[in-house]
Amino acid sequence: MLPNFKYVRPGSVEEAIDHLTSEGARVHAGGTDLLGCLRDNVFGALKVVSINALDDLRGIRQTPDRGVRIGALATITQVENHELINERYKGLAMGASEVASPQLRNQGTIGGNICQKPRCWYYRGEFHCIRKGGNLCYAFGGENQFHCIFGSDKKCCIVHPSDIAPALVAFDARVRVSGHKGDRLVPIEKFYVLPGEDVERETVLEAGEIVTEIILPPIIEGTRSSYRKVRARRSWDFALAGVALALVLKGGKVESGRVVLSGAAPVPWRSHTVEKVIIGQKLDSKTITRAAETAVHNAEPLAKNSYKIPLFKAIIEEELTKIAIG
Amino acid sequence: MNDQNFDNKNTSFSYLESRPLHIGASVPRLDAYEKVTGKEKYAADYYGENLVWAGVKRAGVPHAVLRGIDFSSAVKVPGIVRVLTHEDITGSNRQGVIRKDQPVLVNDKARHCGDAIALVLADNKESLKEALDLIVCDFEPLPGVFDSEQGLRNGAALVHEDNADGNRLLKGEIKTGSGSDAYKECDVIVEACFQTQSQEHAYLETEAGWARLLANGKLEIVCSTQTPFRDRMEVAEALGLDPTLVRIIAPYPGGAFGGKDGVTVQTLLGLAALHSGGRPVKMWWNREESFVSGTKRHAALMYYQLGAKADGTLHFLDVRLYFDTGPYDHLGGVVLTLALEHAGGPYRIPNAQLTGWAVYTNNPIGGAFRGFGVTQVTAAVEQVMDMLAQKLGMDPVKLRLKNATKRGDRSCVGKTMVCSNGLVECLETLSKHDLWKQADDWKSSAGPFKRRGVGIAAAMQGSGYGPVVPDYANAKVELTSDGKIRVYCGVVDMGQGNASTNLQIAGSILGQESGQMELVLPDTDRTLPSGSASASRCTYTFGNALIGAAETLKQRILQRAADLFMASGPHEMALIPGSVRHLPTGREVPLFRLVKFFQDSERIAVHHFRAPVAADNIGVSPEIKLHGLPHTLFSFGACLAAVEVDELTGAAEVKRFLAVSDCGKVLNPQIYQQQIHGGIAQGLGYALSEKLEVEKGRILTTGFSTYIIPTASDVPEIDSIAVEIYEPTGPFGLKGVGEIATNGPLPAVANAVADALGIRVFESPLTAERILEAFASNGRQESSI
Ligand SMILES: Cc1cc2nc3c(=O)[nH]c(=O)nc-3n(C[C@H](O)[C@H](O)[C@H](O)COP(=O)(O)OP(=O)(O)OC[C@H]3O[C@@H](n4cnc5c(N)ncnc54)[C@H](O)[C@@H]3O)c2cc1C
Ligand code: SF4
Repeated sequence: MLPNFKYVRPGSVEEAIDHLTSEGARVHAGGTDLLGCLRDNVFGALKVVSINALDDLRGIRQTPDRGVRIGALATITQVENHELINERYKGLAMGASEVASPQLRNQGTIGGNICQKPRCWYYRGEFHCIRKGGNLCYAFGGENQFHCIFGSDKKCCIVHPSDIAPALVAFDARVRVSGHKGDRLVPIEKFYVLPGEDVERETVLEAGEIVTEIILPPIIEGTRSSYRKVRARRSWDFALAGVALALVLKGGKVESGRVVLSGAAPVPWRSHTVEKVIIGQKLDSKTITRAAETAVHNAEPLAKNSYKIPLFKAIIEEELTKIAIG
Repeated sequence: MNDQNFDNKNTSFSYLESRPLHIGASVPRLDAYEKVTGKEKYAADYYGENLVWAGVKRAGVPHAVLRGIDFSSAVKVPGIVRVLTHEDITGSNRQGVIRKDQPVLVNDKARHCGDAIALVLADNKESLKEALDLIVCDFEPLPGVFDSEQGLRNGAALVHEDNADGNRLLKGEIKTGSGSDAYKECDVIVEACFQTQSQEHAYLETEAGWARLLANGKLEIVCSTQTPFRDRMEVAEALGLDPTLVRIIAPYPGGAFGGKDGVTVQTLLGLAALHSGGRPVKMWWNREESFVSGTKRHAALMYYQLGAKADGTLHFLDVRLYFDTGPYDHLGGVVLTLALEHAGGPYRIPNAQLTGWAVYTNNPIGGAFRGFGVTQVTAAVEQVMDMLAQKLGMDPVKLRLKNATKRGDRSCVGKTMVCSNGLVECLETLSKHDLWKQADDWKSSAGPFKRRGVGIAAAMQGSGYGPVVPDYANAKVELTSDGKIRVYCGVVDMGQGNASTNLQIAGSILGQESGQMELVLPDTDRTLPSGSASASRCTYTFGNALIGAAETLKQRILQRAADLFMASGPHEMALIPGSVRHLPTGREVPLFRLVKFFQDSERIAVHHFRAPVAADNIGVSPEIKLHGLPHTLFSFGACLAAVEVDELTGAAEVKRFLAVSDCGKVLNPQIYQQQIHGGIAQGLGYALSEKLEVEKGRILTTGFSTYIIPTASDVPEIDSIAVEIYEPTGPFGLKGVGEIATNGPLPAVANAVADALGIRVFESPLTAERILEAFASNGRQESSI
């Protein structure tokens, strides 16, 4: 059952920010994650601030420099189906199409998706773990088959649940954050916080700040992108492992690009090691095999998730091969 | 709502047009319209004025002595009506089907996390939640038992100190022929250990009900149940009431699958209603509570040895089964007994040593679940059959055909199979199907990084209660005062469609269309005792009783009409929709006229049917006999799964599925197919993705975002073929179809994965993770089935 809270639906971003600076205030966009968290008592809320009357936060459009601006309230379905995104940022459209189920994609927003809370079952259950302010991570010694193989900092081994964020990282998107002190544009890679920095938060958002839009830079000629997700069920299921790629190919070689893993770490995990192997190289089978090997080189699997190592190797190999073929 | 006259309405059908109800016709199920349009009133839909919400404080710990319950702050919450504990129960405070070992409210210790400690009554849900959170249980933690083999070891913590057999709920032993000694006479032996997981029923409608105490002392409980008549006795005994003062009303459950075979909310609701000051009480578990407190398919550990002669003739079977029954019997002993009876599959095996233990643990409660123990052992025996075929270099269909039981043969427990048996027809139909004939082509056309395999499995499923517990039904049919035919269903329709089939049976006998028919769903005050909706028995047992009642009423109607028309006898009369016709003259009398010539007592016909039981004494212990061994009636099936495995991710995807089943004659092809399809979908979830994560008795997967049941996009195209062998004892030749289809998917998929990869995964579900691990440990190229 939901706790008792005040519900407000402000008409401007400034008003929303005012509300959000009060104690126990929570942003409500599509509510698909928020309401579940409140119902399961993952955290409380004294005030729920709906941002749904903020029409400026809707819509997807091209920016003057031929980038794309996605309003925080754009639904995942809109991202999935948008023509420009499908044409230029295919990997993002693919990521969006892999999220949850059609109903959840219709209701869920991109802002909510990148701000969603972890899915660790201890966290969502009645366990008072470190991330909730307790002093123990139950997953390290418990059921950790869906937990991370990178970046736990030995504190918390969640994986970031979003299928969209990895693609945004691959495209080097920026997140516009609005707060009392005005706006700032945060590269999405810097938007996420590792447990070692602060185990109780997932993003850099401060109290009173909201995400208003996401900006994709103009696409570089020759970019090929994709998103691959492995999961147990075809719909309505989070990634066991995933990889978002955005590579710029010129003259048969990888000129630049990013490789980002999902289901791997507490944040969308940029695999610099893979990038290093492939950049400047032709994507032949030798390079691809080496890239896949190095991807998991420094992985630190837990007792029950070492299967993720061959899994990541396999999908990186598969996806790079597909990109190479075109 | 009128106090004395409960609004358990007679359902008639809001079809646009009335439909003929012939046996064998593919009539859409008569509940479909109401369900799809949201009109059907489920137990969860009962509210009413001045309602009290009842909720349960759960233990939250797997094993602990309850030293005290402090609810002093809880009762101060505004809107709280009462807080009740075991001290408020005047009856036995125990429930259970065979062994009554489960407290309604814990009085001594918690034995699993879902145990009920206190019952709170409140004016609204908000106060209820607040009060539940404020109740403090003083627990002294005890070491727990979380694994069935461990539970049997010396020194294991005891779940029930007063049980003479320690943590052993039931041990079953069956020896046929020369038992284990026969292994010496085998040319080949295969050996394996299988582990199958617990499975959640995952019905749409979680456990729910509504109750009230009338001024005349009658306790009325409307609930989502498979067992209204048994519930009445259980509630009365646990609460110390006269059973005739308890009325159970059972609307259509929104799914049950065995999870509502026995008491869930009933006794708690009854207790609440006794203390609510005459106000109606409602209880509705949320999904987490349903996961934590509801029953599960038993997790099983199964050791198998199967031996054969060089020509493939099965000769010897040795099986040891460990079933984790959780803290309470529920139906654990019966489940184990069915597992033992089906441990050798539908084959002739002359020498067998079968041993099984149902073990108490502090895990969630093991209980009834579609397939009922047969699902687990079928997974094992059908995989060792494939391993044997491989070792013998024999075609797996041929090995099965060679050993298939035929009518008159003995099953692995030595029981002579007297019922119709279409196993051979099922296997032959499968072997002639394109999916089998063209399996090699299909496998060799796998795309890059994919491997394909085709696996088969055969199965049988006993139905009914076995030799001791009487398996009976009492049907009642009425010619209503306005000339309609009203069927009183004594057996719950939890979604299988048997209520519709009942109308079809009565309608076809009485010559009526759906527009002339009415239905009364189970209600201990209005319908007659007819046993549980379980064990693939519903239409077999109730249908036989119904034929008797409908025939009696038919004779009465025809006779009275013949008398009125001064015809030479009822043979000149025929029932047609809405009327009786005098065939020689064509004159007709509408039923609503004719009924005026009936006395009230004549308008109702009843008939009792008791299912036949095995006459042969196969020498098992009386205890095992009591738990249901052996059965007399069996359904059979063979199925095929075409599976594609992603070499890179380990993910197995079922591309096509074929099920050939012998469940006797088909009364309604649509409903039959729905049962087969549903069973397969549930079986595929069990095979591939459904994995209840339980850590020291605590379930981590308490919702559908972590407990992965298949969705529409996960279920492949299914071909379902019925081999319609007439069963002489069945109504119109029918046997049970409710469970058989659930048993095949896991072994068929496991065999297909082994066929694709050359590696067998012995633990279910066959998740991508396990398949990859098996790959990693066996090497990709090596073949070592
Ligand atoms: C069953 C299920 C399966 C799912 N499967 C997947 C999956 O496979 N892949 C995947 O990527 N996701 C999955 N999700 C998550 C889903 O995509 C998110 O719930 C959804 O995107 C959140 O969007 P929303 O608009 O509903 O956010 P809300 O629920 O409204 O908000 C989510 C969180 O973000 C905060 N928030 C929302 N908007 C803003 C903003 N503009 N600025 C600052 N904070 C904000 C809220 O306070 C809240 O904490 C699943 C969810 C469910 C329930
Ligand atoms: S992994 Fe993180 S969220 Fe999960 S239990 Fe550990 S600290 Fe909590």
